[in-house]
Amino acid sequence: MLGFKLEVMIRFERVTKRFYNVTALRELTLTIERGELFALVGPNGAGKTTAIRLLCGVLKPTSGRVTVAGMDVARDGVRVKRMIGYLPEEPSLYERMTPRQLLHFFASLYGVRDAEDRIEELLALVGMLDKADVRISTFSKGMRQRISIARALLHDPEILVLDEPTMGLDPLTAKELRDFVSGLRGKKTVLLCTHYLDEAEQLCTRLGILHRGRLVAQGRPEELKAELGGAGRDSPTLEEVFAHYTRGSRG
Amino acid sequence: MSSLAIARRELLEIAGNRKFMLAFGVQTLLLLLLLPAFGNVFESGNLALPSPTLQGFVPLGVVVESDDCDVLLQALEANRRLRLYRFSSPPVEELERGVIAGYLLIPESYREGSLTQLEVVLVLGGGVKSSVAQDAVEESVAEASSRIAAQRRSELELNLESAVSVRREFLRQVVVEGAGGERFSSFFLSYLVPLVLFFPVFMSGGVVLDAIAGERERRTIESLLGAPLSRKSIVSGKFLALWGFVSAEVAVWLLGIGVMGIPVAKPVEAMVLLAGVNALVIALAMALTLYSRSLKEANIALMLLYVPLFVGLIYALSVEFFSPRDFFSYIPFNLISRAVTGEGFSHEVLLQVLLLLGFGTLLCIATAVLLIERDDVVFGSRPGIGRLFSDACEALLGAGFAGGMALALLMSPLVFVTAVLVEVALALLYTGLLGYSAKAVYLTVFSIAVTEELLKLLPLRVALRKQRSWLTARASAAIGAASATGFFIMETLAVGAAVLVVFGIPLTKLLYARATTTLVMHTLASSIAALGLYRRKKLGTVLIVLAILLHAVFNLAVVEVVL
Repeated sequence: MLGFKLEVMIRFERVTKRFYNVTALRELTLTIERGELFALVGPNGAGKTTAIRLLCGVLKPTSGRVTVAGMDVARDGVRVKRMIGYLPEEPSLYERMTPRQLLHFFASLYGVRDAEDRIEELLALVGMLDKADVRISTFSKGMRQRISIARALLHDPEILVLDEPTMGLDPLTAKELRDFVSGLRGKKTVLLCTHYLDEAEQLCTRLGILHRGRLVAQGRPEELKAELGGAGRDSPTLEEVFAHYTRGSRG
Repeated sequence: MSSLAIARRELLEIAGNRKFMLAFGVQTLLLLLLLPAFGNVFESGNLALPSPTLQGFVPLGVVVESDDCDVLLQALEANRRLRLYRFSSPPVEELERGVIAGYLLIPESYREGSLTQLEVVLVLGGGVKSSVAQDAVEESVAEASSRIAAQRRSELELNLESAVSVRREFLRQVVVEGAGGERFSSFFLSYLVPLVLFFPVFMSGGVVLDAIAGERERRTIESLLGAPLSRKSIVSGKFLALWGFVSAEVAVWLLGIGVMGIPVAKPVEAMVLLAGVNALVIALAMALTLYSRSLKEANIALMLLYVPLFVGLIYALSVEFFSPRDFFSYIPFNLISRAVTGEGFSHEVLLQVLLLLGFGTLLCIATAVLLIERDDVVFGSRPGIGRLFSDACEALLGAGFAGGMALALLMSPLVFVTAVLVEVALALLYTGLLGYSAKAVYLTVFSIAVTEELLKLLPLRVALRKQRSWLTARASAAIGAASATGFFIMETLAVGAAVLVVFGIPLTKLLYARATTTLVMHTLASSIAALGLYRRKKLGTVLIVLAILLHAVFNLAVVEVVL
């Protein structure tokens, strides 16, 4: 026996989200265990961002429920949100604030203790200490993303939710970020949403493929490949697996 | 707590918006420079700005006929607002030319040594400076009066509270190029100053737009929604910041107006009332902005709010100036004008208006909260009114019996307005067909009973359609009664406003009379009708007909009494 029990951290139970007559997510059922690095992949409009927003309490499910450490996001939203660090797809930051002001504001919302020290520490971590008092409006996309990451880590959350974290970043910054996320494996529960398959394969322990609002496959990358490959054939690439499950999404 | 954090950030955002702060600074500067200049134009026809210090700002003539008035003269000379000019005879010509704001006549009979009640005569021209002159003279006279009284008390132990009184006389007409000077001056106080005091609330649109639609457009709202705070606190935090900022702006302007020597009769009351108006307008603007799909749409929506508001303000102030009536004091714009001039202002009315403004503000904030709780609203797709209504009903009815009661009360304005429209249409139809006859009256009275009894059942119909387990016969009757109570409140408010205008009967009196008669009839009839709707079939129809008959008999009795 291994001597420890895997603990479910995130659970989607038949979650559906509808906007009028558009169903963004259909009956999503998914569990992610503590310390896992789970990647959600899928073509544009597959419902990845919707799933992430439902987990972070940014959206409310039309039916079904999302729980985090056993707590219902819809009911215990405030407590759940304290456990989650959320990096949205667009680094949406207040342009007129400086990184320090911005982090102070969020520190007060999250009730971070010793905010001053924590902010210094995080600004150093993302390499933005020298820009701490410059207005965000003057920053490049990469710099904004760094501030956004600092914001997501501010309250030292147990769960990190990253929506397309490397999109639009230069290769060097993207690599730095991937290395950082990779370092979190086992320490934090990470839900990563991406449409870079190599990124997902490189980082995650498990992945799920979303297509037209449905979870069409989930498992370890090698499991998914093996499942599709069958006996006597060369193991397919993850790209081929993805293409297989999302066929007909274009054209 | 999180509301305060949101409010703090919002204020920081406004302060960090250089363009906005620049506009605010320039406006304030222009106001402080131009308003007194306008005052001067309307008062005396000259464009000179008042001196930067207030020393001797108001020129006052003094005609001394008495030889025992040292205490009063000393007090007048010590008053830093007055610049005194001695005249041997009443300086009527100087007053007419606007050289002096007024003159004080100290008659021969005025002897500080004597034990009689003393009287001085203050003759005033129109205008701002004459109001200041009156205020300053009264201040000096009060001071002299208490000193004289103290002297007398110590000498003769007489217990006189006040020894000198001021008799005021107004010089009616100061001619400024053919127009009535006094009229212009009161125009300045009762029209221009209130108009200026409303500017900050009209300019609040910019900050509201940035705070709500801007937050959504820049997608910063997503990180707020992901933070551990309720959506409600986003609305309340933003409201607090915007309200605080706009009200602070008003306070700065009021203070500036005071520093410039323009006499606002009730500055504290004016401030409180303006804060109340600001609250309502900002809450309404927030709800409208939230309901808009984009920044562009929000812009149009706010224009649709502010333009009629501005036209309404101009209209209300014009009406207040040309034909003031008691009823108009219930309109906040008119009441501000009264707070500035001090004429026809009543604290009781202020309290009632504040209560109404507060109620309206709460309603708008509640609407904004309902809107921000919706994902479709936050993420930029605007649901239709019908959908909003249906979802709101669903949510209220989902909350159980109390929600059903709330739904009945909340729907009453809709029910009332619909009923009035139908009733007016039917009355016109009957009189058109039958002329103004007894038959037409009785038909109208009966139609009113039918219309109102059926329409008051609307909330229950909605509730029954959604099928809830708690909706028993008893609960249905209670919802009927709640709907009737809401209808009664609307009716009383409408009738109350009408009788207040026409007969001057206060609302409280009317409320007492109606609560003991009409309310009983409404709730009884509606409960019976509600039971009927719940039961359906034959018994149901019989109960509804019974309710209508009860209402009709009551209406007939009222008609008999009134006619």
